[in-house]
Amino acid sequence: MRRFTPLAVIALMALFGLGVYHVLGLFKTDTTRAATKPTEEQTQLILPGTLYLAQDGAIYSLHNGHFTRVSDDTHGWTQPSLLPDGRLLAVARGAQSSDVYILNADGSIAQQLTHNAATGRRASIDSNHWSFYPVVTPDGTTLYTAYDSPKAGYMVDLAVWARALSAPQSTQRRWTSPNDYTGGDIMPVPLRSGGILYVKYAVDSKERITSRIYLQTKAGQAGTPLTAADDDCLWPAVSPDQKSVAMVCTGASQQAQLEVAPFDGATLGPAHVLVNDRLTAAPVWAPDGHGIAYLAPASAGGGFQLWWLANPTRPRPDAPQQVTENLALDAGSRPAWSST
Amino acid sequence: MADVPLRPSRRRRAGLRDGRRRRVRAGLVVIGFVGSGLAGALGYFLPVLSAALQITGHHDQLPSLPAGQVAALGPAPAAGSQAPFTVLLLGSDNDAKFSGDHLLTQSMILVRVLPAEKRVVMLSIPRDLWVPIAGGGSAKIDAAYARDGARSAIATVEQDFHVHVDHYVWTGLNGLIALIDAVGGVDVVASNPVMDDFYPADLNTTNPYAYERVAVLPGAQHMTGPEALQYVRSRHGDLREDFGRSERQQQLLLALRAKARTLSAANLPDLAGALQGQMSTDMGLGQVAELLPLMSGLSLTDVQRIILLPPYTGSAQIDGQDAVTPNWDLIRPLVATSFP
Repeated sequence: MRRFTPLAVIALMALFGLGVYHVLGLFKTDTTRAATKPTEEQTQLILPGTLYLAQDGAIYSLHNGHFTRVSDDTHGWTQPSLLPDGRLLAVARGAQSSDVYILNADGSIAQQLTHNAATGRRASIDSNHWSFYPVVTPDGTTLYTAYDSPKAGYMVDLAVWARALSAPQSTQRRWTSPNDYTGGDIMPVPLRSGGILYVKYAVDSKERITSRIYLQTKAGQAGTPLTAADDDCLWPAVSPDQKSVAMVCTGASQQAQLEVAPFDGATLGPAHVLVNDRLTAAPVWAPDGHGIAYLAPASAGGGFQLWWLANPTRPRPDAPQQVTENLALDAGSRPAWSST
Repeated sequence: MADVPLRPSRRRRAGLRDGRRRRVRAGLVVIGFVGSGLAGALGYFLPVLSAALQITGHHDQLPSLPAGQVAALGPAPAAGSQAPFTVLLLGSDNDAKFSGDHLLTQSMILVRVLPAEKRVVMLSIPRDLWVPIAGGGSAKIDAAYARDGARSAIATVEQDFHVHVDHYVWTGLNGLIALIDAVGGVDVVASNPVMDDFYPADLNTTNPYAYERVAVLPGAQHMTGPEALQYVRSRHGDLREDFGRSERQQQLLLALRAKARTLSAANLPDLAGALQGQMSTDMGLGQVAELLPLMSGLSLTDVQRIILLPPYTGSAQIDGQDAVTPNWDLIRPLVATSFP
């Protein structure tokens, strides 16, 4: 028995060395660790209704603190948006093109609304198209998207296009005229008045790229800028009563602060900053208008989490609350929020 | 009667011997555990040492200036001093289109580090800038690296911009991807939709002349290595062409700096493993170690970014190529101010 004691001690030493090796690995920063799947996380903060969010090409619903996977991840699903009947619009993003679909509540495909992949043996790579940011008017009749046409050579700019939801893609009509070689016009938000808010990119006289939120009342008309070029605002979100607009403004910096401004249907009042201590994206109003959900990382360089901020229009809004802990939500997808 | 010294009894002597043996054994066990723990730690950090030795200390790539020129420029700062110094960041296409020793630089950024003031100045040099190349002849500045590696690129920048480069850091495309993936991705505020129908699909492919479509949507988002490369490499859809791309490259550097602040020493082996063969610098290990805390301690407002837009540059057709022409009367005073 005594003969084995030194061997056991040596084995323990070796195990100790291995232990040190593995324990050191535990000190890696959290932001380098893989995110968890939403279905593996339960939120402490319960938001009313149901939110639809995208992560890694799949769409998830968040209801009563629990995530449920709505779609699979085989189509590269992104940018979910609600139809009045409760079904979802979503973008299926491929390597060379993207298309808008209607998804049933169980995630199955109800209808393909665009056909942007180039077909035929002679089709060249630039015959493909992108459709992004699909959204319908409150009555569910008109579909708006950002679509990359017309194109010419290296010029690929998105413009806002619209069509009847029930009509074929060939009937879609271009609403906006993007500035060439800027990336174009994106993020349409239909208003009850019949117009839209959207984001227009431009290059100013100092060769600086700028983004401004525009209001446009009819297809083909010139839009009216609602924000200053120096503010670089995007992600407009109109409150349910249409009296406030939440947005993200970057000021040409690597900061992205959440702001809210009063809206009278034609102009924006002075904006006040809601969040300026982290990068924010994709704000959406709660269906009852009492708060805003948005995406932001919990720490610098980390994956984007869901956050909630109550009473944003009050002089003293509530402090933001982090809803999810370790996800990597698609910050290019505005959450869709249903009241049920 | 003389006292006879008392000798310990045989039993007592045996007991003393046993005690000494036990102490020696216990000491050996402690030493064994400490050694084993150190071996575990050494094993964990071995990739760091290996990569550091491979990446750093490439002094042979620094140009040997004529004595008079060296005297005019002044001595290079000593390691550990608070003296300002200048680093030339070089980013190359190192895909299958090019042989390993004839790479073009897609990106050249002069970085002035002022440790005492905790400030950094970044100046992007347009890759199409038409300049005299060190060693004879004129060409776009991206060809300088192809002539004789970093040595030639540094000598060209020094002779044309009248600036002294103390150090260089080179990385290839795969190195950038590996670096960003090794830190778990970066959070970038994309300034506009970056749309490109002819983005080179030249990495990990059998056809290095193939194209792919790129659409990086704007706003704050978490980017993986391949996504970040698309964002900083694409230029076809940007009205500002290489200037727009330079701006995006500087944005990525800021995002990497922000991410670096969150990392711990335990992350170093992953970083080192990712960068082996993908990066090189003349700086020694000690200099890099001194530089890292300084860089991670900077805030956004401590970084001044310069892009050589018109009137600092113009455009022209030279030898059948679209080139950017320098206005040295404006550039050199600017450089003299920011890179004295």
